[in-house]
Amino acid sequence: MLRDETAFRSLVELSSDTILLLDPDGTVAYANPAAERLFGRPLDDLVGEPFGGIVTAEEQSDIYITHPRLGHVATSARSTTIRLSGIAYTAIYLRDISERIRTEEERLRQFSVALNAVDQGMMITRSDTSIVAVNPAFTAITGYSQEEVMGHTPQLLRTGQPEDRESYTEMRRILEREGHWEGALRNRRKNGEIYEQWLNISPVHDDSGKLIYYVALFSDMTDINRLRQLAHHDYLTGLFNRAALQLHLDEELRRIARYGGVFSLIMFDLDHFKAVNDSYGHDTGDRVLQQIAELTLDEVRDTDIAARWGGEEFMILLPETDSDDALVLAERLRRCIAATAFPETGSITISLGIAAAHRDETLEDMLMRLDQALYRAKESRNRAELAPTPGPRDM
Amino acid sequence: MTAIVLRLYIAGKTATAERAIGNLRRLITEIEETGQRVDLEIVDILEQPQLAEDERILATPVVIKKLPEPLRRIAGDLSALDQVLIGLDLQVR
Repeated sequence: MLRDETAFRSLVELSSDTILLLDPDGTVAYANPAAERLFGRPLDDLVGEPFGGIVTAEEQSDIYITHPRLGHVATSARSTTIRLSGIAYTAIYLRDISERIRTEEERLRQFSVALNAVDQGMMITRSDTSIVAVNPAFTAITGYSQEEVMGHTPQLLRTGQPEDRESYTEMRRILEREGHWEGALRNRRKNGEIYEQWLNISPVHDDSGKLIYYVALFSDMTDINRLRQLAHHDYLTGLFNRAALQLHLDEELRRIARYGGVFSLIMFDLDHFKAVNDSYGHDTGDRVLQQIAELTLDEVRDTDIAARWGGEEFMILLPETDSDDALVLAERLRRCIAATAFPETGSITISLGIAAAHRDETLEDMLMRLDQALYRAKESRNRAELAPTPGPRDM
Repeated sequence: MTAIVLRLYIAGKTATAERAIGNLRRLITEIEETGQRVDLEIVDILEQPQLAEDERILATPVVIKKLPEPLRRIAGDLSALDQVLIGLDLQVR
Protein backbone atom coordinates (compact mmCIF):
# COMPACT_ATOMS: atom_id res chain seq x y z
CA MET A 1 0.00 0.00 0.00
CA LEU A 2 1.09 3.51 -0.71
CA ARG A 3 1.17 5.33 2.56
CA ASP A 4 3.56 8.05 1.68
CA GLU A 5 1.81 11.42 1.21
CA THR A 6 4.30 12.59 -1.40
CA ALA A 7 3.48 9.55 -3.52
CA PHE A 8 -0.22 10.46 -3.44
CA ARG A 9 0.60 14.06 -4.14
CA SER A 10 2.56 13.17 -7.27
CA LEU A 11 -0.35 11.02 -8.50
CA VAL A 12 -2.71 13.95 -8.09
CA GLU A 13 -0.28 16.31 -9.74
CA LEU A 14 0.16 14.02 -12.75
CA SER A 15 -3.56 13.78 -13.36
CA SER A 16 -4.76 15.42 -16.54
CA ASP A 17 -8.17 15.83 -14.87
CA THR A 18 -8.56 18.77 -12.56
CA ILE A 19 -8.61 17.89 -8.86
CA LEU A 20 -9.66 20.40 -6.21
CA LEU A 21 -9.81 20.13 -2.47
CA LEU A 22 -12.41 22.35 -0.89
CA ASP A 23 -12.59 23.55 2.69
CA PRO A 24 -15.84 22.74 4.51
CA ASP A 25 -17.12 26.19 3.48
CA GLY A 26 -16.46 25.51 -0.23
CA THR A 27 -13.24 27.55 -0.58
CA VAL A 28 -10.49 26.09 -2.77
CA ALA A 29 -7.77 24.76 -0.42
CA TYR A 30 -5.76 22.94 -3.06
CA ALA A 31 -5.77 22.74 -6.86
CA ASN A 32 -3.63 20.40 -8.95
CA PRO A 33 -1.61 21.71 -11.96
CA ALA A 34 -4.32 20.64 -14.45
CA ALA A 35 -6.62 23.23 -12.84
CA GLU A 36 -4.48 26.02 -14.22
CA ARG A 37 -5.45 25.21 -17.78
CA LEU A 38 -9.12 24.49 -17.03
CA PHE A 39 -9.70 27.69 -15.07
CA GLY A 40 -7.31 29.78 -17.18
CA ARG A 41 -5.62 31.31 -14.16
CA PRO A 42 -2.52 30.60 -12.04
CA LEU A 43 -2.89 28.11 -9.18
CA ASP A 44 -2.06 30.78 -6.62
CA ASP A 45 -5.08 32.78 -7.78
CA LEU A 46 -7.36 29.77 -7.41
CA VAL A 47 -6.52 28.87 -3.83
CA GLY A 48 -8.71 30.80 -1.44
CA GLU A 49 -11.42 31.41 -4.08
CA PRO A 50 -15.00 30.35 -3.36
CA PHE A 51 -16.13 27.36 -5.44
CA GLY A 52 -19.11 26.09 -3.48
CA GLY A 53 -19.78 22.50 -2.54
CA ILE A 54 -21.13 20.38 -5.38
CA VAL A 55 -24.56 18.97 -4.76
CA THR A 56 -26.16 16.50 -7.10
CA ALA A 57 -28.03 13.26 -6.75
CA GLU A 58 -26.24 11.94 -9.82
CA GLU A 59 -22.94 10.16 -9.71
CA GLN A 60 -21.55 12.84 -11.96
CA SER A 61 -23.01 16.07 -13.21
CA ASP A 62 -22.24 18.77 -15.72
CA ILE A 63 -20.57 21.86 -14.31
CA TYR A 64 -19.53 24.83 -16.42
CA ILE A 65 -16.20 26.38 -15.47
CA THR A 66 -15.85 30.12 -15.97
CA HIS A 67 -12.76 30.68 -18.07
CA PRO A 68 -11.60 34.27 -18.56
CA ARG A 69 -10.87 33.75 -22.27
CA LEU A 70 -12.69 30.60 -23.40
CA GLY A 71 -15.98 31.55 -21.77
CA HIS A 72 -17.59 28.50 -20.23
CA VAL A 73 -15.95 25.11 -20.33
CA ALA A 74 -18.16 22.07 -19.89
CA THR A 75 -16.89 19.53 -17.41
CA SER A 76 -18.16 16.34 -15.95
CA ALA A 77 -17.81 16.59 -12.15
CA ARG A 78 -17.53 13.95 -9.43
CA SER A 79 -17.03 14.66 -5.79
CA THR A 80 -16.31 12.80 -2.57
CA THR A 81 -15.56 13.68 1.02
CA ILE A 82 -12.09 12.95 2.37
CA ARG A 83 -10.74 13.55 5.84
CA LEU A 84 -7.32 15.08 6.26
CA SER A 85 -5.99 15.90 9.74
CA GLY A 86 -9.53 15.67 11.13
CA ILE A 87 -11.05 18.13 8.63
CA ALA A 88 -13.70 17.01 6.13
CA TYR A 89 -12.61 18.25 2.73
CA THR A 90 -14.53 17.83 -0.47
CA ALA A 91 -12.44 16.41 -3.29
CA ILE A 92 -13.70 17.39 -6.72
CA TYR A 93 -12.66 15.78 -10.00
CA LEU A 94 -13.40 17.82 -13.08
CA ARG A 95 -13.00 16.31 -16.54
CA ASP A 96 -13.05 18.69 -19.47
CA ILE A 97 -15.68 17.29 -21.82
CA SER A 98 -15.96 20.31 -24.10
CA GLU A 99 -13.74 18.79 -26.77
CA ARG A 100 -15.72 15.54 -26.80
CA ILE A 101 -19.00 17.42 -26.95
CA ARG A 102 -17.69 19.67 -29.72
CA THR A 103 -16.52 16.76 -31.89
CA GLU A 104 -19.66 14.77 -31.36
CA GLU A 105 -21.95 17.70 -31.91
CA GLU A 106 -20.04 18.90 -34.94
CA ARG A 107 -20.66 15.48 -36.46
CA LEU A 108 -24.35 15.72 -35.63
CA ARG A 109 -24.56 19.19 -37.13
CA GLN A 110 -23.00 17.98 -40.36
CA PHE A 111 -25.46 15.12 -40.35
CA SER A 112 -28.39 17.46 -39.86
CA VAL A 113 -27.26 19.86 -42.59
CA ALA A 114 -27.05 16.82 -44.84
CA LEU A 115 -30.79 16.60 -44.28
CA ASN A 116 -31.22 19.83 -46.23
CA ALA A 117 -33.61 18.30 -48.68
CA VAL A 118 -35.91 16.95 -46.00
CA ASP A 119 -38.88 19.25 -45.54
CA GLN A 120 -39.60 17.85 -42.08
CA GLY A 121 -38.08 19.78 -39.22
CA MET A 122 -35.45 17.83 -37.33
CA MET A 123 -33.96 18.36 -33.91
CA ILE A 124 -31.42 16.21 -32.08
CA THR A 125 -31.13 16.56 -28.33
CA ARG A 126 -28.96 14.92 -25.73
CA SER A 127 -30.60 12.61 -23.22
CA ASP A 128 -31.07 15.63 -20.93
CA THR A 129 -33.02 17.25 -23.84
CA SER A 130 -30.49 20.00 -24.56
CA ILE A 131 -30.47 20.70 -28.29
CA VAL A 132 -27.28 19.74 -30.18
CA ALA A 133 -28.37 19.94 -33.81
CA VAL A 134 -31.23 21.09 -36.04
CA ASN A 135 -31.75 21.05 -39.81
CA PRO A 136 -32.73 23.94 -42.13
CA ALA A 137 -36.40 22.92 -42.12
CA PHE A 138 -36.36 23.36 -38.34
CA THR A 139 -35.31 26.97 -38.89
CA ALA A 140 -37.91 27.45 -41.61
CA ILE A 141 -40.72 26.23 -39.34
CA THR A 142 -39.70 27.66 -35.96
CA GLY A 143 -37.85 30.80 -37.05
CA TYR A 144 -34.92 29.94 -34.79
CA SER A 145 -31.43 29.48 -36.25
CA GLN A 146 -29.14 26.69 -35.12
CA GLU A 147 -27.02 29.14 -33.09
CA GLU A 148 -30.06 30.43 -31.25
CA VAL A 149 -31.22 27.03 -29.99
CA MET A 150 -27.91 25.29 -29.31
CA GLY A 151 -27.68 24.14 -25.71
CA HIS A 152 -31.25 25.22 -24.99
CA THR A 153 -33.93 22.69 -24.25
CA PRO A 154 -37.15 22.45 -26.31
CA GLN A 155 -38.64 24.49 -23.46
CA LEU A 156 -37.68 27.45 -25.65
CA LEU A 157 -40.31 26.40 -28.22
CA ARG A 158 -43.17 25.95 -25.78
CA THR A 159 -46.23 28.16 -26.00
CA GLY A 160 -46.07 29.04 -22.30
CA GLN A 161 -49.84 28.69 -22.15
CA PRO A 162 -51.37 26.83 -19.22
CA GLU A 163 -53.65 24.70 -21.42
CA ASP A 164 -50.62 23.24 -23.23
CA ARG A 165 -48.68 22.37 -20.10
CA GLU A 166 -50.60 19.15 -19.61
CA SER A 167 -49.84 17.86 -23.12
CA TYR A 168 -46.12 18.54 -22.62
CA THR A 169 -46.20 16.63 -19.33
CA GLU A 170 -48.13 13.79 -20.91
CA MET A 171 -45.64 13.63 -23.79
CA ARG A 172 -42.69 13.45 -21.40
CA ARG A 173 -44.39 10.74 -19.37
CA ILE A 174 -45.04 8.55 -22.39
CA LEU A 175 -41.56 9.26 -23.73
CA GLU A 176 -40.00 8.12 -20.47
CA ARG A 177 -42.21 5.06 -20.19
CA GLU A 178 -42.23 3.83 -23.78
CA GLY A 179 -39.09 5.41 -25.17
CA HIS A 180 -40.79 7.08 -28.13
CA TRP A 181 -43.70 9.40 -28.79
CA GLU A 182 -45.77 10.54 -31.74
CA GLY A 183 -48.60 13.00 -31.81
CA ALA A 184 -49.77 16.56 -32.29
CA LEU A 185 -48.35 19.30 -30.12
CA ARG A 186 -48.64 23.08 -30.03
CA ASN A 187 -45.48 25.16 -30.05
CA ARG A 188 -44.56 28.79 -30.54
CA ARG A 189 -42.49 30.23 -33.37
CA LYS A 190 -39.83 32.86 -32.75
CA ASN A 191 -42.25 35.52 -34.04
CA GLY A 192 -44.70 34.53 -31.29
CA GLU A 193 -47.15 32.72 -33.55
CA ILE A 194 -48.52 29.51 -32.04
CA TYR A 195 -48.75 26.56 -34.40
CA GLU A 196 -49.59 22.90 -34.27
CA GLN A 197 -47.05 20.33 -35.29
CA TRP A 198 -47.05 16.60 -35.85
CA LEU A 199 -44.10 15.35 -33.87
CA ASN A 200 -42.26 12.04 -33.74
CA ILE A 201 -39.57 11.50 -31.11
CA SER A 202 -37.27 8.45 -31.15
CA PRO A 203 -34.36 7.60 -28.88
CA VAL A 204 -30.82 6.77 -30.03
CA HIS A 205 -28.84 4.37 -27.85
CA ASP A 206 -25.13 3.70 -27.81
CA ASP A 207 -23.60 0.22 -28.07
CA SER A 208 -24.11 -0.45 -24.38
CA GLY A 209 -27.80 0.42 -24.64
CA LYS A 210 -27.45 3.77 -22.86
CA LEU A 211 -29.73 6.52 -24.11
CA ILE A 212 -27.59 9.23 -25.69
CA TYR A 213 -29.83 11.23 -28.04
CA TYR A 214 -33.39 11.93 -28.95
CA VAL A 215 -34.21 12.59 -32.58
CA ALA A 216 -37.36 14.64 -33.10
CA LEU A 217 -38.98 14.95 -36.54
CA PHE A 218 -41.89 17.29 -37.01
CA SER A 219 -44.16 18.78 -39.66
CA ASP A 220 -46.05 22.02 -39.48
CA MET A 221 -49.71 21.05 -39.24
CA THR A 222 -50.66 24.47 -40.56
CA ASP A 223 -49.50 23.19 -43.96
CA ILE A 224 -51.06 19.77 -43.47
CA ASN A 225 -54.37 21.31 -42.46
CA ARG A 226 -54.25 23.64 -45.45
CA LEU A 227 -53.63 20.69 -47.77
CA ARG A 228 -56.41 18.72 -46.14
CA GLN A 229 -58.69 21.72 -46.52
CA LEU A 230 -57.76 21.92 -50.22
CA ALA A 231 -58.20 18.20 -50.74
CA HIS A 232 -61.59 17.91 -49.06
CA HIS A 233 -63.34 21.16 -49.83
CA ASP A 234 -64.84 22.81 -52.83
CA TYR A 235 -62.76 25.88 -53.65
CA LEU A 236 -65.77 28.03 -54.60
CA THR A 237 -68.31 27.38 -51.86
CA GLY A 238 -66.12 26.01 -49.07
CA LEU A 239 -68.49 23.04 -48.74
CA PHE A 240 -67.11 19.51 -48.84
CA ASN A 241 -66.26 18.39 -52.35
CA ARG A 242 -67.53 15.29 -54.08
CA ALA A 243 -64.52 13.17 -53.10
CA ALA A 244 -64.85 14.06 -49.43
CA LEU A 245 -68.58 13.33 -49.44
CA GLN A 246 -67.88 10.00 -51.09
CA LEU A 247 -65.65 9.09 -48.13
CA HIS A 248 -68.40 9.99 -45.66
CA LEU A 249 -70.93 8.03 -47.73
CA ASP A 250 -68.75 4.92 -47.69
CA GLU A 251 -68.45 5.26 -43.94
CA GLU A 252 -72.22 5.61 -43.48
CA LEU A 253 -72.88 2.60 -45.72
CA ARG A 254 -70.46 0.49 -43.70
CA ARG A 255 -72.07 1.67 -40.50
CA ILE A 256 -75.63 0.72 -41.45
CA ALA A 257 -74.48 -2.56 -43.01
CA ARG A 258 -72.91 -3.46 -39.70
CA TYR A 259 -75.15 -1.91 -37.08
CA GLY A 260 -78.35 -1.28 -38.98
CA GLY A 261 -80.04 2.12 -38.82
CA VAL A 262 -80.59 4.59 -41.59
CA PHE A 263 -79.27 7.70 -43.27
CA SER A 264 -80.70 9.95 -45.94
CA LEU A 265 -79.44 11.97 -48.85
CA ILE A 266 -80.82 15.16 -50.29
CA MET A 267 -79.69 16.07 -53.77
CA PHE A 268 -80.68 19.43 -55.17
CA ASP A 269 -79.88 21.75 -58.01
CA LEU A 270 -80.72 25.31 -58.97
CA ASP A 271 -83.67 25.94 -61.26
CA HIS A 272 -82.86 27.84 -64.46
CA PHE A 273 -79.23 28.27 -63.42
CA LYS A 274 -78.07 28.30 -67.03
CA ALA A 275 -80.21 31.39 -67.57
CA VAL A 276 -78.55 33.10 -64.59
CA ASN A 277 -75.10 32.45 -66.08
CA ASP A 278 -76.20 33.51 -69.54
CA SER A 279 -77.83 36.78 -68.51
CA TYR A 280 -75.63 37.90 -65.58
CA GLY A 281 -72.31 36.19 -66.34
CA HIS A 282 -70.37 33.47 -64.57
CA ASP A 283 -69.09 35.70 -61.75
CA THR A 284 -72.64 36.38 -60.68
CA GLY A 285 -73.41 32.69 -61.10
CA ASP A 286 -70.51 31.86 -58.79
CA ARG A 287 -71.73 34.33 -56.19
CA VAL A 288 -75.20 32.77 -56.30
CA LEU A 289 -73.67 29.34 -55.70
CA GLN A 290 -71.76 30.76 -52.72
CA GLN A 291 -74.94 32.25 -51.26
CA ILE A 292 -76.83 29.00 -51.77
CA ALA A 293 -74.01 27.20 -49.93
CA GLU A 294 -74.25 29.66 -47.03
CA LEU A 295 -78.04 29.29 -46.77
CA THR A 296 -77.63 25.50 -46.88
CA LEU A 297 -75.14 25.56 -44.03
CA ASP A 298 -77.56 27.71 -42.01
CA GLU A 299 -80.37 25.20 -42.47
CA VAL A 300 -78.61 21.87 -41.94
CA ARG A 301 -77.79 20.44 -38.53
CA ASP A 302 -74.25 20.14 -37.14
CA THR A 303 -74.13 16.43 -37.90
CA ASP A 304 -75.23 16.84 -41.53
CA ILE A 305 -72.64 17.04 -44.28
CA ALA A 306 -73.23 19.45 -47.13
CA ALA A 307 -71.21 19.11 -50.32
CA ARG A 308 -71.02 20.54 -53.79
CA TRP A 309 -71.61 17.51 -55.96
CA GLY A 310 -70.73 19.27 -59.22
CA GLY A 311 -71.76 22.32 -61.31
CA GLU A 312 -74.95 23.60 -59.72
CA GLU A 313 -75.67 20.31 -57.95
CA PHE A 314 -75.47 19.95 -54.19
CA MET A 315 -75.78 16.97 -51.87
CA ILE A 316 -76.56 16.74 -48.16
CA LEU A 317 -75.79 13.63 -46.15
CA LEU A 318 -78.03 13.27 -43.09
CA PRO A 319 -76.77 10.55 -40.75
CA GLU A 320 -79.36 8.69 -38.64
CA THR A 321 -82.19 10.44 -40.39
CA ASP A 322 -85.13 8.70 -42.10
CA SER A 323 -86.83 9.97 -45.25
CA ASP A 324 -89.66 11.74 -43.38
CA ASP A 325 -87.26 13.87 -41.36
CA ALA A 326 -85.10 14.44 -44.43
CA LEU A 327 -88.16 15.67 -46.31
CA VAL A 328 -88.91 18.16 -43.51
CA LEU A 329 -85.38 19.56 -43.76
CA ALA A 330 -85.54 19.60 -47.58
CA GLU A 331 -88.82 21.52 -47.51
CA ARG A 332 -87.39 24.02 -45.04
CA LEU A 333 -84.36 24.60 -47.25
CA ARG A 334 -86.53 24.93 -50.36
CA ARG A 335 -88.75 27.55 -48.70
CA CYS A 336 -85.78 29.41 -47.25
CA ILE A 337 -84.06 29.77 -50.63
CA ALA A 338 -87.28 30.64 -52.44
CA ALA A 339 -87.89 33.40 -49.87
CA THR A 340 -84.41 34.88 -50.21
CA ALA A 341 -83.92 37.92 -52.41
CA PHE A 342 -80.58 37.45 -54.19
CA PRO A 343 -79.11 40.94 -54.66
CA GLU A 344 -77.99 40.47 -58.25
CA THR A 345 -80.60 38.13 -59.67
CA GLY A 346 -83.72 38.42 -57.57
CA SER A 347 -85.34 35.16 -56.54
CA ILE A 348 -83.83 31.73 -57.16
CA THR A 349 -85.45 28.36 -56.55
CA ILE A 350 -84.13 24.85 -56.14
CA SER A 351 -85.49 21.36 -56.77
CA LEU A 352 -84.70 18.54 -54.42
CA GLY A 353 -84.71 14.75 -54.42
CA ILE A 354 -84.67 12.81 -51.15
CA ALA A 355 -83.81 9.17 -50.51
CA ALA A 356 -83.23 7.13 -47.38
CA ALA A 357 -80.63 4.38 -47.56
CA HIS A 358 -81.73 0.80 -47.41
CA ARG A 359 -79.65 -2.02 -46.10
CA ASP A 360 -78.41 -4.33 -48.87
CA GLU A 361 -78.86 -1.60 -51.46
CA THR A 362 -75.74 -0.49 -53.31
CA LEU A 363 -74.73 3.15 -53.39
CA GLU A 364 -75.26 3.19 -57.16
CA ASP A 365 -78.85 2.01 -56.75
CA MET A 366 -79.49 4.58 -54.07
CA LEU A 367 -78.06 7.39 -56.18
CA MET A 368 -80.21 6.25 -59.08
CA ARG A 369 -83.37 6.47 -56.96
CA LEU A 370 -82.22 9.88 -55.77
CA ASP A 371 -81.70 11.00 -59.35
CA GLN A 372 -85.18 9.83 -60.30
CA ALA A 373 -86.68 11.78 -57.39
CA LEU A 374 -84.82 14.93 -58.42
CA TYR A 375 -85.89 14.41 -62.02
CA ARG A 376 -89.54 14.27 -60.93
CA ALA A 377 -89.13 17.38 -58.76
CA LYS A 378 -87.55 19.11 -61.73
CA GLU A 379 -90.70 18.57 -63.77
CA SER A 380 -92.53 21.22 -61.75
CA ARG A 381 -89.47 22.93 -60.17
CA ASN A 382 -89.21 24.59 -56.70
CA ARG A 383 -90.23 21.26 -55.28
CA ALA A 384 -88.98 18.41 -53.07
CA GLU A 385 -89.70 14.80 -54.06
CA LEU A 386 -89.22 11.61 -52.09
CA ALA A 387 -87.62 8.72 -53.96
CA PRO A 388 -89.67 5.50 -54.09
CA THR A 389 -88.49 2.79 -51.72
CA PRO A 390 -86.54 0.06 -53.51
CA GLY A 391 -88.61 -2.73 -55.01
CA PRO A 392 -88.80 -6.24 -53.45
CA ARG A 393 -85.94 -7.33 -55.73
CA ASP A 394 -83.59 -5.08 -53.74
CA MET A 395 -84.86 -5.89 -50.27
CA MET B 1 -39.35 37.93 9.39
CA THR B 2 -36.57 38.88 7.00
CA ALA B 3 -36.53 37.09 3.69
CA ILE B 4 -34.02 34.49 2.63
CA VAL B 5 -32.15 35.91 -0.36
CA LEU B 6 -30.88 33.42 -2.94
CA ARG B 7 -29.08 34.17 -6.17
CA LEU B 8 -28.65 31.50 -8.82
CA TYR B 9 -25.93 32.02 -11.41
CA ILE B 10 -26.18 30.19 -14.70
CA ALA B 11 -24.23 30.41 -17.96
CA GLY B 12 -26.90 30.31 -20.63
CA LYS B 13 -30.08 28.26 -20.61
CA THR B 14 -28.30 24.91 -20.72
CA ALA B 15 -30.05 21.72 -19.71
CA THR B 16 -28.07 21.66 -16.46
CA ALA B 17 -29.15 25.23 -15.77
CA GLU B 18 -32.80 24.37 -16.42
CA ARG B 19 -32.51 21.43 -14.02
CA ALA B 20 -30.91 23.60 -11.35
CA ILE B 21 -33.68 26.19 -11.75
CA GLY B 22 -36.36 23.51 -11.45
CA ASN B 23 -34.75 21.96 -8.39
CA LEU B 24 -34.28 25.31 -6.70
CA ARG B 25 -37.89 26.31 -7.33
CA ARG B 26 -39.06 23.02 -5.79
CA LEU B 27 -36.89 23.70 -2.79
CA ILE B 28 -38.23 27.24 -2.42
CA THR B 29 -41.79 25.93 -2.46
CA GLU B 30 -40.87 23.62 0.41
CA ILE B 31 -39.24 26.43 2.36
CA GLU B 32 -42.15 28.80 1.78
CA GLU B 33 -44.59 26.22 3.07
CA THR B 34 -43.00 26.73 6.47
CA GLY B 35 -43.92 30.42 6.37
CA GLN B 36 -40.48 31.73 5.41
CA ARG B 37 -40.16 34.14 2.52
CA VAL B 38 -37.58 33.54 -0.22
CA ASP B 39 -36.33 36.08 -2.76
CA LEU B 40 -34.76 34.34 -5.74
CA GLU B 41 -32.83 36.14 -8.43
CA ILE B 42 -31.52 34.21 -11.44
CA VAL B 43 -28.49 35.76 -13.10
CA ASP B 44 -27.33 34.62 -16.53
CA ILE B 45 -23.65 35.49 -16.55
CA LEU B 46 -23.54 35.32 -20.35
CA GLU B 47 -25.72 38.42 -20.24
CA GLN B 48 -24.04 40.03 -17.25
CA PRO B 49 -20.38 38.92 -17.23
CA GLN B 50 -19.41 41.71 -14.85
CA LEU B 51 -21.60 40.21 -12.12
CA ALA B 52 -19.77 36.88 -12.47
CA GLU B 53 -16.50 38.64 -11.90
CA ASP B 54 -17.82 40.62 -8.94
CA GLU B 55 -19.12 37.48 -7.30
CA ARG B 56 -16.01 35.46 -8.26
CA ILE B 57 -18.04 32.76 -9.96
CA LEU B 58 -15.72 29.83 -10.72
CA ALA B 59 -18.39 27.35 -11.77
CA THR B 60 -22.04 27.33 -12.79
CA PRO B 61 -24.78 26.61 -12.02
CA VAL B 62 -24.15 27.88 -8.52
CA VAL B 63 -26.57 29.19 -5.91
CA ILE B 64 -25.45 31.73 -3.34
CA LYS B 65 -27.34 32.41 -0.15
CA LYS B 66 -26.82 36.15 0.45
CA LEU B 67 -29.06 36.38 3.49
CA PRO B 68 -29.29 35.51 6.27
CA GLU B 69 -25.59 35.41 7.07
CA PRO B 70 -23.37 33.45 6.77
CA LEU B 71 -22.90 33.47 3.02
CA ARG B 72 -23.12 30.00 1.48
CA ARG B 73 -22.64 28.70 -2.03
CA ILE B 74 -23.54 25.38 -3.66
CA ALA B 75 -22.66 24.37 -7.22
CA GLY B 76 -24.20 21.65 -9.38
CA ASP B 77 -27.66 20.76 -10.61
CA LEU B 78 -28.94 20.86 -7.00
CA SER B 79 -30.83 17.60 -7.48
CA ALA B 80 -30.23 16.37 -3.91
CA LEU B 81 -32.58 18.80 -2.20
CA ASP B 82 -31.80 17.71 1.37
CA GLN B 83 -28.10 18.28 0.83
CA VAL B 84 -28.78 21.68 -0.73
CA LEU B 85 -30.67 22.66 2.42
CA ILE B 86 -27.80 21.53 4.62
CA GLY B 87 -25.25 23.18 2.39
CA LEU B 88 -27.11 26.48 2.40
CA ASP B 89 -27.75 26.16 6.14
CA LEU B 90 -31.53 26.41 5.72
CA GLN B 91 -34.31 24.64 7.51
CA VAL B 92 -37.74 23.54 6.40
CA ARG B 93 -38.87 22.69 9.92
